[in-house]
Amino acid sequence: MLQQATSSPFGQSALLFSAIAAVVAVIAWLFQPLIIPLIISFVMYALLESYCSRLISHGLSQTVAACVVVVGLIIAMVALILIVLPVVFAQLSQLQSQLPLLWDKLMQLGQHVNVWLGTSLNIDVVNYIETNVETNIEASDGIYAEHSVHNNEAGHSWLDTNPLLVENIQVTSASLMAHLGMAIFLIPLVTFFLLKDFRVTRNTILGWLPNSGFELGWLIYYRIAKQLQCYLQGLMIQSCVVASITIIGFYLMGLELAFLYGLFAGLLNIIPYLGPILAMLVPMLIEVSTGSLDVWLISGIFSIILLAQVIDNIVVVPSVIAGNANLHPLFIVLGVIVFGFMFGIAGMLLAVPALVSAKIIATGLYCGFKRG
Amino acid sequence: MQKTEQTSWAGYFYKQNPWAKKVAGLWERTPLFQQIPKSEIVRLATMMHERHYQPEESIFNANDLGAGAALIISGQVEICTNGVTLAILGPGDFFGEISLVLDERRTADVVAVVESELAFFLRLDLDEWTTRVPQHAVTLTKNLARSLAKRLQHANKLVGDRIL
Repeated sequence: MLQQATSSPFGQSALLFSAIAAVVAVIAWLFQPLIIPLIISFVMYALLESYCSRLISHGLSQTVAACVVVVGLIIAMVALILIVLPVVFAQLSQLQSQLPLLWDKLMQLGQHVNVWLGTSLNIDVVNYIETNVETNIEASDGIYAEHSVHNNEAGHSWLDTNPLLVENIQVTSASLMAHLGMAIFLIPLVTFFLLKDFRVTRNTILGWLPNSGFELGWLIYYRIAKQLQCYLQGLMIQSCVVASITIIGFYLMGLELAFLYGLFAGLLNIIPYLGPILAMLVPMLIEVSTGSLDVWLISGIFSIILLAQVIDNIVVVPSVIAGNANLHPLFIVLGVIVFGFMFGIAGMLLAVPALVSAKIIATGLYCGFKRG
Repeated sequence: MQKTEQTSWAGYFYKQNPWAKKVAGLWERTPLFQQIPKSEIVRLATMMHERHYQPEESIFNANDLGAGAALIISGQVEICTNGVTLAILGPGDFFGEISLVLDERRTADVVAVVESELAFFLRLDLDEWTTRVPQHAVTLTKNLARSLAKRLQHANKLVGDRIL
């Protein structure tokens, strides 16, 4: 029975696909701490490879061409840091100063929701949370939870009075800075070695394939590379278009954090379906929490994100990335959620490329084993 | 000073690849690479893939997915369909060029007659080369179209002769 199943094209391709998936999963697990710098490096490689090729066609060796391109990349990164980062940091510090107010408003909103739930559905969420917090005090050292209960009762802001939270923020900031420092060091280095050696390494690895699977292996690689390249280029254009529209729109609306929100919307656009919703919710939440509940403000933010999405879907998507993913929307949404749960933000970004690659490998193997 | 004679530090800037030079020399004589500079063919040959086959080993079968063309560097291969031999090819000959333009299945079986060495030129290599040097890639594409058109003309003539 098992022998019969594995001798069929479906069984053979399923077996090989499972083996490839297992290897990829092990590699992803091993490289999980470095996954974001590695993704950025591969994106950089995909964007810069054509420049490297042009230099090689002018007679330079692979190493020298890669050096020249990476030096150009470093100069561009430094210029970007000098131009864009001051604006981003200024807006981030502005946002940071508004955080206590945002937190208090969120607490008030939570209390309103609790009152509404209590009167209409007879559910006391605060009581439920406090009961759980008390259980936690008994179970753990209780410091963090005691602060939580005390501050809630007193009605103080966490950021003002909770030393543990401040400490946590400091630790997180230090960790973030360490990751940022590592990324700044790793990205040019990995990009350099990808530009220098990727093609040779790829040819060597695919050269290990037996004669019978050599062409099929290359064909699957070719299809994946082509799809991912188109997807990546399309995604970059999409993100730039969405970021530009939202920055201009929010600026015209008079929002002080227009640049930050726009940048955020452009970045979140990478996450299919869920990204635009988050891009809409974050500025709405911040603006409403730090200002007043203005219907025009909410509808303005909604309209600009909607306009950016409409232009993106009517103009950019059909001309740039139409048919690239070719996956059912539900499948993509579920994939994004599952990958996000497993690998965090990096998983959400990787979900579509991973699903597209998996589909190409599975169909390619099946077609290869099927033979006409 | 010629690039081939460069040594010491200059060799670091212009690396040589004897296998690619040998392959380029064979491709240069085929109709596919007419009017393309030798230096460009050498550069393209460095991207090609060396494969070795034992006597009677299948190179590919009809209905296999095709990824590109193959050039015979040494040895001999037999092209056949439905058990009928269509051609025996030797060093300097190439086959499977339809797969350079079409993502389709192979139309014939190819088997190594003796121990053979092949250089595969894949559609991926052609694509990468096209982005690198589009002007030469256009020439290659024209040569490829001419070669396939001649084959179509020949097939039409054969069909016409059979009908008459």
